Amino acid sequence: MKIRIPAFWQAVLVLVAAWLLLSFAFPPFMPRSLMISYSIIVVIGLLLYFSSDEQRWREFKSPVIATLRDDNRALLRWPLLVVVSLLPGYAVYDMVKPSLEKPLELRQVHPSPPASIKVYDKSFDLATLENPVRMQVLQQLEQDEEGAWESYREAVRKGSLVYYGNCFYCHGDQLDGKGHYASALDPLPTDFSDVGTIAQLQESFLFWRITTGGPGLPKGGMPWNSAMPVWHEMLSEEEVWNVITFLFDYVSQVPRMWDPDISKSVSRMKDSVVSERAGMGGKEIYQLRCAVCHGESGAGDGPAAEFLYPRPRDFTLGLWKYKTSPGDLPPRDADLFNIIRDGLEGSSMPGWSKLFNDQQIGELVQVVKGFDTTAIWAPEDAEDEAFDDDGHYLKDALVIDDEEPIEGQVAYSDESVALGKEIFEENCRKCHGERGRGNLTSGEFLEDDWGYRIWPRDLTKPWTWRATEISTGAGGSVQDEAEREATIRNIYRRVSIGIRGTPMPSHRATEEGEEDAIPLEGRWHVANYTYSLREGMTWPGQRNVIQGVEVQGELPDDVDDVAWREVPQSTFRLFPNIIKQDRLFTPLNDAISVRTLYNENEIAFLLEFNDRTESMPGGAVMSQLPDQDEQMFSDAVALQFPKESAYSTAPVEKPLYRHGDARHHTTIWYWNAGSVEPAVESRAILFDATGPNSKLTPRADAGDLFTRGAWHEGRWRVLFKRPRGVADSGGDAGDIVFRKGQFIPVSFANWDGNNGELRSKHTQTPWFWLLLPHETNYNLVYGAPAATTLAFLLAGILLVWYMRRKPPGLDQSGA
Amino acid sequence: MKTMRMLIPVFGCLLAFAAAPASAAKYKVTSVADGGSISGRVTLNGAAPEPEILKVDEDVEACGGDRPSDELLVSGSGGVQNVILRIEKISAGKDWDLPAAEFTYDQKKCAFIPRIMIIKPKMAGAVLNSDSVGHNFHTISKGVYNINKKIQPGSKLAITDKKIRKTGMVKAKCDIHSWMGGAWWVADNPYTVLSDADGNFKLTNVPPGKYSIAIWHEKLGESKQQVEVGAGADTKMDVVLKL
Repeated sequence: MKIRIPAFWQAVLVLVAAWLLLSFAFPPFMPRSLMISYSIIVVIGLLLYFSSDEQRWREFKSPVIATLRDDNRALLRWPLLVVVSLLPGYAVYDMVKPSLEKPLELRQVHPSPPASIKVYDKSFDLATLENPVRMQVLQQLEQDEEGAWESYREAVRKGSLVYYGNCFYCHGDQLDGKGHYASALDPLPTDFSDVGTIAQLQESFLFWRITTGGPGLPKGGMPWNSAMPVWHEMLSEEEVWNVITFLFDYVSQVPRMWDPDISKSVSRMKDSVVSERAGMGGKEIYQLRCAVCHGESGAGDGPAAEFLYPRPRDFTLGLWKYKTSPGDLPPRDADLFNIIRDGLEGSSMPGWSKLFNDQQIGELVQVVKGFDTTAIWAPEDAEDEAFDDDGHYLKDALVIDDEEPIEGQVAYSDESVALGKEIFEENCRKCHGERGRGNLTSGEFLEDDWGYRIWPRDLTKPWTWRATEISTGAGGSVQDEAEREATIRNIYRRVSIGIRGTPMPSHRATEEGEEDAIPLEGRWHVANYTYSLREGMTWPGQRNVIQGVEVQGELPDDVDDVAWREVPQSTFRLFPNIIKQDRLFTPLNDAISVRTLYNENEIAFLLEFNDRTESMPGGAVMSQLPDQDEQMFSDAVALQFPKESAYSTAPVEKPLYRHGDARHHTTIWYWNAGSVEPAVESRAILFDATGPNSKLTPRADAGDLFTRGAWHEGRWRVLFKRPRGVADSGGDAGDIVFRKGQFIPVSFANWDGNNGELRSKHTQTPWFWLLLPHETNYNLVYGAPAATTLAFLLAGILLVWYMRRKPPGLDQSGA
Repeated sequence: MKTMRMLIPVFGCLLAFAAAPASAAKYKVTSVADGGSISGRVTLNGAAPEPEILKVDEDVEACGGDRPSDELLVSGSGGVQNVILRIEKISAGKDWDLPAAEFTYDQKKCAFIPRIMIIKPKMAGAVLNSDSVGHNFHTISKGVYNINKKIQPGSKLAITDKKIRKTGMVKAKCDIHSWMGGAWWVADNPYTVLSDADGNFKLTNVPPGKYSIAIWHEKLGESKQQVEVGAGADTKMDVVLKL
């Protein structure tokens, strides 16, 4: 039997389907205005369709009219009327409610390239430009196939060195845009493994994007948000082509090419590489993908190693940090397997499950074990002949089955945390600090077993932990009970077993005659306390718009003022300046928090960031701490704002985020901790920035900029205060005016003097938004929606009254 | 202190003296007929430098105050203590004559006692803590013995005879009290001695022959000297270490 849907319900169905389609089938960033226009078109279309035919129109209207008029529909009529009247009320509320939605930035992902670019003192015609490295290989291929392959591999190898020396911090080990500094960037670095990126592009496009970087983007590409360096300043032309060749080789894609013959040859080469790699065993995979960091012989000394902190693991010495076997036993195979599969958060080691299957990872585990030269995986009675001259055990490595016992877990509670705090104070404080910020109250210089400097973990920042934090959810900070318990178990393992090769000792007795350094229950209390140290931390990315809070009267002069406590904190990830020389590759700080207060005349910022050392040259304790190689400088921190005339929000336009550009200047509010010897007070400086290649100009005096900084227990808190500026003038220097209701770009920078950070060597953020919200106009926010609803309700009642007084049948004569 | 903190790749430095891979030929105990001896004294090629004053800025009460470094100990008459002298590449000879079957290594007033110690593979022992504060007993070696364990006051670290299987250098440190330094030499043969407080040493019951003597000092590094031992005779070998 055929069921016929009445006309009215047909219309409703179409509407619902259209809404679902618009909401879910299109990319999530479809602008609201566009959605509204489309919805209106759908409604008009429906009305046109149903009113175009008399019969259909009547059928369409009949349930509506029936509901309005029929006596037996009263029960449906009145609630429906109320609901229908509430809808426009809600729409009005939505329009007038205080909005924190930041200005829309629609970035063109693949903007059209210019016809030509000028770099390396030459002009390149992008329409005809091809990769000379590739072209040469193709030419050679016709006469000398072996030689051509040799040249190709050499170009890829050289390109890989360029990539790991420059690109992989952001674009990632697997070219997936997930490098270890990527999370500080917005937009995220391009994912080359996505077939929608480089595989759709000509190599000349990549050449343009690499050589001219973010600043070379057209406006539609939002150059001011891009961290992509201007590589022609740092890489040679040949290096750029080599790295382009490497990119396509790694992801097994071919560039878009116009000449079909050339394109075919390139595809054939790619296919040959792909089939060669498909049959690779663990050893070959290791040399192809792992050796660049861990070294050809597994000694943690690959070409990328020196740019990394923490350094890649040295597999030769039998010292493994994150393991679940007890005491000084070597790790279990599962430990190694999990690390290769899942990677190590907070380091440059990615999880490899996307590229390798379980069997390949299992083979890699054996390869890694084979690099050991300390006989940890050899049986006690192994013959000398079973080792080679370097001490590698040549037979099958032992498999460790023993697992660190996880028993007697103490439930997470205030009492346990309090007990743990006491034990922590006794056993952990000297390295991890009073509040777990890793601030070494012992003042000792720590080294790992290789003699490299190492810092105690900041236990208040779980997002930097490796192999321990189990975080899911937004910003990682939301954990359910099971995740929390699992994280605490991992902390317990670290406390019991220690972290081998580092100054973190084990605390559980493993031999007869010994006693636990911390008894079983105590270790659980410490684990619970360590977990609790995250309380009160705002994780990076939780609040991306900094909202100022208005106060009446004076703004605080002090970092400890109670007024700050009520202000919500926003935290942003910092990344080191790897985009402009001199570059910094191994920062220690990764996050900065900010709170903002303002009154009628002034605005104040409280910047907070964990820093293990109060770096002031000549300072008593900390003078022991710098590296022999590194000079110690003063800690410093800065905020940057565009000049009043250098930005707009509709459409968005901003200065480049590192010191602006020729047409968009910025002002930098800088604070420096000063030094003890020579005696220099901490001080504020205002800098004017006019572009990435111009020197910053300090103003003669900081004038109306008030600053105050205090370091306590591993954390700097620095207060900046300045007049908000006068509307319409922006002051002599064109400084920004902090207006209510205006989204204002702001960025941050931090120098850890103890880490050799000075001038361009610092950490930074891209632009974020600052908003001083309008006061909420409650009359408008609640009055307007209420009035709208009432008006609709009234109109509805009138309509019902009108319909019901008309005698039935009249509508039969037509509308 | 600063010089200690140079980023020397620790293992490079250890390896010079510790190049004894797992596959090294094992030493055999035999009876020695007509054994000779090598004796002498270790001195410096100049005046002994003033010892560096180590700053004790942590647990001052338990550890005692600042102290002169005992890394380089030179007697009034110029003898250098704590120098390890050993015959290289000797595969057979006298029996081991270490003072005790098991070793103990103590931590007292936040210093290792003794600072330098010779032991042999598969020797059991213990690391004690006679202080009223905890220590992070942390060893660094190329696979000889690696441990990092918190040892509470009055507690100990037990080392079974299965733990130390290889020969070579084991450096000891405490990550809480960075001035603490010490080393164990796990000897591959019994012809391994430590110079005494006046720099004197004697290797006894050596089978006659030509030998290379390896000489190591914690601060002054490694050197070698050639020596020939006659049957039943004592061969003099004086050692002058370069500052």
